[in-house]
Amino acid sequence: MNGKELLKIEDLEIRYETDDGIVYALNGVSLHVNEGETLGLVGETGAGKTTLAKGILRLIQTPPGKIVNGKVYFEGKNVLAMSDHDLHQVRGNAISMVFQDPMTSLNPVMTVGEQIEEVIAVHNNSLSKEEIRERAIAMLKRVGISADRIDEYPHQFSGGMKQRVIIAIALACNPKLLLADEPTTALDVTIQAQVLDMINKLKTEMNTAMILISHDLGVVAQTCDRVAIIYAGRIVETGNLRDIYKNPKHPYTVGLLDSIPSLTRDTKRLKPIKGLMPDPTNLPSGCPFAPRCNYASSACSEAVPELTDRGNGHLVRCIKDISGKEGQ
Amino acid sequence: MKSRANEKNKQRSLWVEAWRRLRKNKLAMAGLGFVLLLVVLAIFTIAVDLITHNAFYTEHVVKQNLRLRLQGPSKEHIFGLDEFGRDIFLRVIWAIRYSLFMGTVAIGISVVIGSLLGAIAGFYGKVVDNVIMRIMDIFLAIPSMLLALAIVAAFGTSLTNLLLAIAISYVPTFARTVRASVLTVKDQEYIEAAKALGASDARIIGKYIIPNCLAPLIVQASLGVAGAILSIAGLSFLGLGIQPPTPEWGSMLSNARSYIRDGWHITVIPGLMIMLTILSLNVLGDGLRDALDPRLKN
Amino acid sequence: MWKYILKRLLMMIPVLLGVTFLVFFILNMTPGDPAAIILGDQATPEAIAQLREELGLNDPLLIRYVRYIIDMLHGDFGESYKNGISVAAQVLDKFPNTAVLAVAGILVALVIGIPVGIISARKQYSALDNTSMVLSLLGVSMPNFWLGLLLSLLFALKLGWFPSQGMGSGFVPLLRSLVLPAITLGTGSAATVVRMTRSSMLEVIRQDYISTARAKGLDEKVITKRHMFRNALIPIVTAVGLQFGTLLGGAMLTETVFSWPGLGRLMVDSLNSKDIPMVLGSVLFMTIMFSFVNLAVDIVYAFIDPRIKSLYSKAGFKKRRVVVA
Repeated sequence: MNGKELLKIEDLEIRYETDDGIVYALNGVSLHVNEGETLGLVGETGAGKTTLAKGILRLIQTPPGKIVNGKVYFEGKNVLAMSDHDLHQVRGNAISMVFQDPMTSLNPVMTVGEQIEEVIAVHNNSLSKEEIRERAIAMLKRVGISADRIDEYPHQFSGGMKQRVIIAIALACNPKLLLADEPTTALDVTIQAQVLDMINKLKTEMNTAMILISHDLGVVAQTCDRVAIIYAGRIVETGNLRDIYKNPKHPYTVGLLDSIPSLTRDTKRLKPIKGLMPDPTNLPSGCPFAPRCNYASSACSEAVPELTDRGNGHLVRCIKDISGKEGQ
Repeated sequence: MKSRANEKNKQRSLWVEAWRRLRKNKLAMAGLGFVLLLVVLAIFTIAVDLITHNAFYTEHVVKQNLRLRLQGPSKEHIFGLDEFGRDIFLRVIWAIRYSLFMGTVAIGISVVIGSLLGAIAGFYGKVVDNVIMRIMDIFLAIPSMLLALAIVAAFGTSLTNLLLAIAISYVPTFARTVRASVLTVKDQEYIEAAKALGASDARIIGKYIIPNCLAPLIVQASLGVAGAILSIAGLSFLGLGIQPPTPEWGSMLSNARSYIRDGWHITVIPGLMIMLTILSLNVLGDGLRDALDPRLKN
Repeated sequence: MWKYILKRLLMMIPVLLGVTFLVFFILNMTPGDPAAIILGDQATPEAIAQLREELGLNDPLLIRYVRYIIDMLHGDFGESYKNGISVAAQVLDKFPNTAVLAVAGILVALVIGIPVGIISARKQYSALDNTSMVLSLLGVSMPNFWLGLLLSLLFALKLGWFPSQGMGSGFVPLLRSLVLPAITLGTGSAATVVRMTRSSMLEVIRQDYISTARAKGLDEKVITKRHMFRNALIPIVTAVGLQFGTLLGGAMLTETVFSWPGLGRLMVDSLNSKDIPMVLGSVLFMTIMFSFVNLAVDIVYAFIDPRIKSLYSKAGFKKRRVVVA
């Protein structure tokens, strides 16, 4: 929204080769994120959200994972073609990541201080030990943890506190882009809002762009500038927050919005989307949402639709125009 | 009634599924094949002894022929002859029963005693658990080879004592294994549910707890037989196990030690038999573990 | 920390009492009259009866056990039936030789086992991994006395590089004589350590905190050393501790193969001559050693894993303070 393009993903394809067949996790994803903005990435479990975030930093375990195709430009340079040395400069420094489960994302045998200091030290060779520690303490305070807990171990912290430590690690080097993979899903509902507010406050202060991965449309509505909806490894709709929420064009997005309870809208009952996401080892040849779609016609199962521009950067992957209609 | 039948089916299909996975594991199947070959050979030699009233055994396995001593492998004697001129191939084959059957029987005894103790400790908990497991701790504190040695030393080197010594030294392992699985199963909600529905202790043990302990027990037991065979061979090597002239792999090696310069075959072949047997049991045990609990597989 | 060590030491006492009772009980079941063994074939029944009285053999087992424990606490393990020399003196005389062998064996196991296990896990399913898996399977399946015989056949008798028997005196001869026994004793444990290290590394590699470490921009070497290995170490230490027991059993066989003058040989010789106080003393001594190794393992745990440490130190009971941003 403000400033120029920071990250640009082109046609990213990632597969996992398992004993039970090839999992087509990402099938040509293109996205961009501008400096300082927050992009919400929304989709069901198994849609490929985490794979996308890990793919940006080349954190996919190989084997079984494999980046088959695509480019990830960060400030004009393709992350996927970088040398390991350059990649290590980017990770944790320019782009950092917050993982889903705070309980397992911290090393149990290192103090939280050591774990924050580690990322500062590796990206700031010139700093002395004392300076590194000072910075770690400052970071810990910024995420709302008192400095005297710096020498404690992860098991001495609660889930919400652990997630704060992880956020401190992620933001310690002032990254330009933060990949937040469902940062609050594993937390208690009361803690979720606190942690989310804190992430938002810090990212605004530091002018960090963010990809916020979530399956919670409410969370996304509160925090994001733009939204991308992902389904079966493809972006099905992307656009400004307002366009997506007020004027959804893809039947899947419509379905997602209909399935959240609302206090303001006067609906008698929720309308869950029928059926399940297709098996990623065996995707249908046409539109992967067609089997669950109320608007589907025979044309839908012939080929995967292209993303088409409906104006104002609002891209939709559907051959129909369903705006204004009520799907029954 | 119908749901019970389904449950039976589910349990059976668990074993069928495990067997299917095991069959895909070529290494484990090779191990199983070798073990089965040994079993067939052992039964064959026992049959020969029964039919010939030990005549063949006395004539070809035990009888010395000093004129031909230490002769290397040849067409008539594929593994050569030992320090007393006896055919090593025949001795090695006749020895299978001592290693394989004694190892199996010893482990069988300790599986029964161990799982009984472990099940009682795990199921009843509290004082019973404490008493049983502290006693097991005492047994575990003594290195198992030393314990077996002390028992054999005290009671003398007979087959029964050897068997007993090895069985006792493995009891704590099985008690621990079973107790651990009982404890994990005991707190499951379906056990609570069964209790709430008025199922008796015996029914709960028989229907839920034993089936759940079986998988780890089978794996432990197959690895235990390997360990027991090693112990038998080791004790015999020290002169505390099976006594000459009875053929046994460990005691054959013990004798070979004095003639080590005079022929490689008398040292290599009995040891190779021990190693192949242990190897087969180990790969079979690993394969069983992967087949019975695929989550553990890397 | 000291509290923890003290607690572990106190917990050892009942176990060791149990062990002494068990071993004492078993060995006193031995058929044959010790007095007759000591006095030999020519002894008169009167002399035997008198010696029985002197040795206190006519008292009930429990009383003899208590007497034995009291003597033991004074460092007195009785005298050998065979030569009348104090058991404690003989055991302490042979103990250093076994200790040298056991430490060398453990070193072989660690120096081979840990690096190979780590590399195997890092390069899972590579040719190197497959080779090391096959070799370690052979290693755990090989009876160590057989390996010893093969090694001495090849490297001592055929090639003459190392002595096949005995323990050298002086540093270099000692090292030379130690090579084959140490490899013999350590190979099985090395194989176990390789397998354990590999599987525990593979377990750790999958953990989320390894992804966190990668996302920080650390290079793989640092991640392996600082993040993976330290976490993988806990099960490895357990395995090594347990291996020590196997190693003590194996030492008897290795010492027999190489005529190494250690505790194991002493014990086997005593067994063959029915020298019960000697057997009792050496079994107890080895068991006590094993218990101390296990204690050491538990203490090492606490240093590696802060979760265990805080169970026993004050910090663990500190109240969690809640800070709200």
